[in-house]
Formats: sequence, C-alpha cells, structure tokens
Amino acid sequence: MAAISPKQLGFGTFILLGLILAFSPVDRMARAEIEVSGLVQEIAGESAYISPEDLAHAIIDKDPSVIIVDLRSSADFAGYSIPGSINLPVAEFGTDRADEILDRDKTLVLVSNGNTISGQAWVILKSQGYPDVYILAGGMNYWVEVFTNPVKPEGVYTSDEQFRYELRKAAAPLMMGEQAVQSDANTPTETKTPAVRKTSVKKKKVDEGC
Amino acid sequence: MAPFYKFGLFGDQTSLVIALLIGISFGFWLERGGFGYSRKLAMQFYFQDLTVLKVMFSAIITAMLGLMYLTLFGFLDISRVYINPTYMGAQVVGGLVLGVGFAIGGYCPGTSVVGVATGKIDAIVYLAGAMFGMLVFGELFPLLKNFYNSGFMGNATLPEFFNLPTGLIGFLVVVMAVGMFLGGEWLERKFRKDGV
Repeated sequence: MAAISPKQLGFGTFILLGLILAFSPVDRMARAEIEVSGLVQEIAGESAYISPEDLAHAIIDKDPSVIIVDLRSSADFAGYSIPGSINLPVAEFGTDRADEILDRDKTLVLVSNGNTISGQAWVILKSQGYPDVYILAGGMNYWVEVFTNPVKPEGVYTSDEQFRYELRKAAAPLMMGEQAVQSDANTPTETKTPAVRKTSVKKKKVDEGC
Repeated sequence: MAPFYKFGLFGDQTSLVIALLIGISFGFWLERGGFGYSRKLAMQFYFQDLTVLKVMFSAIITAMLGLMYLTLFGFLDISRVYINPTYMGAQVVGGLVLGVGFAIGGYCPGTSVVGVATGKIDAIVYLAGAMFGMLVFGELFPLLKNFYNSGFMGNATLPEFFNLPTGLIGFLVVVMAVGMFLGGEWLERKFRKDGV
C-alpha cells in the first residue's frame, strides 16, 4: 500500500474541512445573538444611559462621532428638537433611511419623550450588534426640565452638583434656543452661543478605527 | 467569545501591545519563509518559484476555515469582525500598480520592511520609494479623491455578492486554492531552470 505524502494529507484535510463547511449552517450561527444577561447588566448599571449634561457637552463640542436620533413623531420633532438631532420615528426602523442614519461606527444617542420608547429601540439596536448606543436619561421631558429651569443645588452639595448646575444654566440658551425662537415668531434672530467653560469632564471614548 | 477586543476583554493600550507582538511574529515568520529575499519573491512572476503563492493561499484558507469553524461553533461573532470596504474601481487599478511594483522591485510593502530589518539595501530603497509615493499620493489626494471613492460597494463579501451560503463559498475557495497550488507546481516544473 502506497504511503500518503504530507501534501496529499494537507490537501485532503483542507478539502474535507471545506466539504463539511459546505453543508454547515455557518450563516445561521453568524447572526449576532442577543446576550440578554449583558444587556440586563447594562440597563441595571445605567451604563446604557447618557445624562443630559454629557449630551449637551457633545453638542457644544460639535462631536462628529455622536448622532442624536430623535424617535418621536415628526410633528413633535418640528415642535422642539435637540440641536443637531435627526428625526427617525421608531416606525421607520428597518427602512433604507434608518440604515443610513444608524451608523454602526458612530455613537448613537436615542431620544424619546421618556425612557420607554428609546429603551425599546436600544434593545433592538443592541441585539442587532450596534456597539455604541445610549439612551438619553429621562428623555425629552427631563431634558426640557433640566435646561429650562435649572435648580440650584441647596444645602450640602458636591462640586459635581455645582458644576452640573453651572453647565445647565450656561447651556440652556443654546439647548432651548430653537424653542425660544419659535415662540417669538416675528423676529427669527440667531441665538448666541454661550461661552461654556470646559472643566474636567470625562471625555467620551474615541471610536475605534482600523 | 471572540473578537476579544470588541467584547472589551482588553483595552486600547493592551491591544497595541498585542498588535506589536503579532506584528513581530508576522515579520519573523515572513523572514523564516524566505520572504525577505527579493529574488525569491520576483521569481513567482516568471513562474519559476511559486512559494509565495502557495504560502499565501495556505494562509488564506487556514484563516478562513478557522474563522468559519469558530463561527459555526459559536466562539466568534463574525458580524463584529472588521471588513475592509470595497472600492472596486480604485482597488483594481491599485492592485495592478502594486503588482507592477512587486514584479519590478521584488517586494510587497510588508516584505520590504522584513528586508529592511535584515539590512537588505534594495529593500531600503524600495521602502524609501514607497514612502515617497505615499507623500505624492497624499499631496495629490484632492485631485484623486473622486477616483479614490469610485466603485464603492460597502463591506462586500463573496457570500453576499454571489448570494450563496457562506459554507459553500468556503468550500469553493478551498477547491480554488488547491487548484492554484497544483497549477503552481505544474508551472514550476515547466519553467524552473536548473541552478537558479
């Protein structure tokens, strides 16, 4: 019996492995499966949320890697929207327009009236393997509350609380500017950008690039 | 579950250290495979020594089978693996330019660095030329921008392009690689000169 040469052995192994693959459900296994435990931890640990102040910072910095996705109806969006946000009602998920807006390489911030709709959208996007998705904590309701009427911290407060208050006050005209303009319909003046002093706020992680 | 970096098993800085180690071992094995030697590399264009072709295809199908089996057994989330986007127009022309340079200079970008590491003068000249080419390209980029983006196809893959199951494509690539391997050996026997 002729001995099998190493070359024949190599070819044989490769072809056999390939042949097995040809009948294997590789595509089905390739679907990013949702790891429920991980998502639950992110929600519980609140790492799924971004605070209005941090988002305001991204807006003021004009961070190009952050996309603010407004999930409310287009009528609500027309009423007031966060500066620089894009309107994408949840009903439009799965359309070409949604795929265009929801860029996997960017940081997505989901905004709805409260936390519910954006939370649901967060789960959908996470289960589709979007790496960087955040929910605006408290949604639009909290956002408006924070920036229209910043509450001065009373009693014993930390420097962080004080800083947040200062930021809310300083950023309010910019964040709520569009609304102010709309209520004052006869003079559509441009809102002035307030100078916001940059203090040591933890920087958002830079997106990975290959 | 892999990819480890995407799942946050290590951070940015650790990933750089790992990249350095992988890079060093890559260079080491290229050198050990004889790829730091321009004549051996150029020989394949005269069909006299197709080692490069054979090594490349062996590496490609080994990596491909590895990725597919890891995916199949659920150890790897292939959707998180980075895929180079395809720009068909620019890449066809770029590939031809690279091939011409490869045949003339006897190095590809990676092996030229290996050649420099072992002190080969032609590799140093080659690498300096490559750097100069990058400078010229960078300066001319505004003119070349439209061409650079031509034929954009997104993160195209063969299974998506041909609309066939990934496993079947894997098998076809293996068959193709074995065909190339055997074809390469046939060419070598036909063209090899004694004493080279």
